[in-house]
Amino acid sequence: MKIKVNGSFQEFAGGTVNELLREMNISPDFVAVALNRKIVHRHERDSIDLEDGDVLELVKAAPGG
Amino acid sequence: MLEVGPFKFKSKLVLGTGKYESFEIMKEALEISGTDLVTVAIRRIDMNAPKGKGLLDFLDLKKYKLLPNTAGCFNVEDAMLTARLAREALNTNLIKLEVIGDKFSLWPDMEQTLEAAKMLIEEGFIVMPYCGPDPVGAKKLQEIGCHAVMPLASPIGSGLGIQDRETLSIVRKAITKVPMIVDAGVGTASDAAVAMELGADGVLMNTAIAEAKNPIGMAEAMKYSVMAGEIAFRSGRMPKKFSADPSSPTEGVPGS
Repeated sequence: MKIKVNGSFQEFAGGTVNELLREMNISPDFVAVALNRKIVHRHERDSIDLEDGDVLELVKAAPGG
Repeated sequence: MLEVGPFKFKSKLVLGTGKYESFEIMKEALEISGTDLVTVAIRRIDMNAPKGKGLLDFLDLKKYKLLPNTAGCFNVEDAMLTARLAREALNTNLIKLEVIGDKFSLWPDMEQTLEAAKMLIEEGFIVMPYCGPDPVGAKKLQEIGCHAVMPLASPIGSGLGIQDRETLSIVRKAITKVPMIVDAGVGTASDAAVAMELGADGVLMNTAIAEAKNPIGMAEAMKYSVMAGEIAFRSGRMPKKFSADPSSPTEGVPGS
C-alpha cells in the first residue's frame, strides 16, 4: 500500500505505527506522530494499523527561536 | 524569578536554539547565559539526514525546560497541530504560540493567535503567545487566560532593537496579571537592558546571540544586561530634565 510520510509518498507493507517507525529506523523517543492530522499517542502506536492512503507526520524538536 | 503558569524560572532570559554555527557553540552560549528556558521548533524528521547527534543531545533537560514553538504556522489549524505534536514529542504543556500573518515582516496575526490561544488553553496548554506591541491585543490575550504575553520589539531576526519604547510601555501597563516577555528584535545587550528597564518580566531572543561574532561572549553580555535592566527598573530612574544640573557644588570653585 501507499502512504504519505512527511509530504512524500512511500510504499509500506502494512502494520502499526510503531512498525513503520522501526522500518524507517526512527527512534521513538522525543518523536511525535500525527495520522491524518490527528495525534497518535505513544500508547496507541502499537495498536493503530495504517491504511492505504494514510497521511503521516513524523516530527521532532529542531533548532528554533 | 520568572513565573509562567505553574513554572518558575531562575533566569529572566529565554533563549532560542536556532541559527547557531554548531550545537557545541549553542550549548556553551546557553550555559553561560544562565537561562533555564529554551525554545525549540517542531519539524518533520528528515529521512535523508545523516544519522548523528541531534539538538536534544546538546540540551541537558535537567537544566533547561523546553519551550516548543509553532513558528512557521500561518493559520490556527497548523498551529494547533504543531502544538499538539510538540506536547506529544516533548512531554510538555508549554507552548510558544506563533501564528504569523505576513511572510515579509513575520508579524503575528492577532485574530488567529487569539483563536488558537483559546483552544490551546481549553486543551490544558500553558500558552505564551507572540504578539504585536499592541496594548489592546495583548490585553485580550491576558483576559482569555494566556500565561504570558510576548510582544515583539522589532521584527523577528532583525536585530533592530526596541523600536517603540513608548508603545511597549503602554503594553506593559496593560499587562498586569501575567508576565510580559519581550520577544523578538533584540540586537545587542543594551536592547535587552532597555526592555527590562521598561518593566518587562523577561526577554526572549535567539539571533542576537546566534549571529553575534562571538555568540558565547554575547550570551554572557545578555545575562548581565537583563540583570542590570531589571535592577535599574526596580530602582527607579531619575526624572529627565531639559537643562544641565551640575553634580559638583557651584560654590567654592578654586580661583573664583
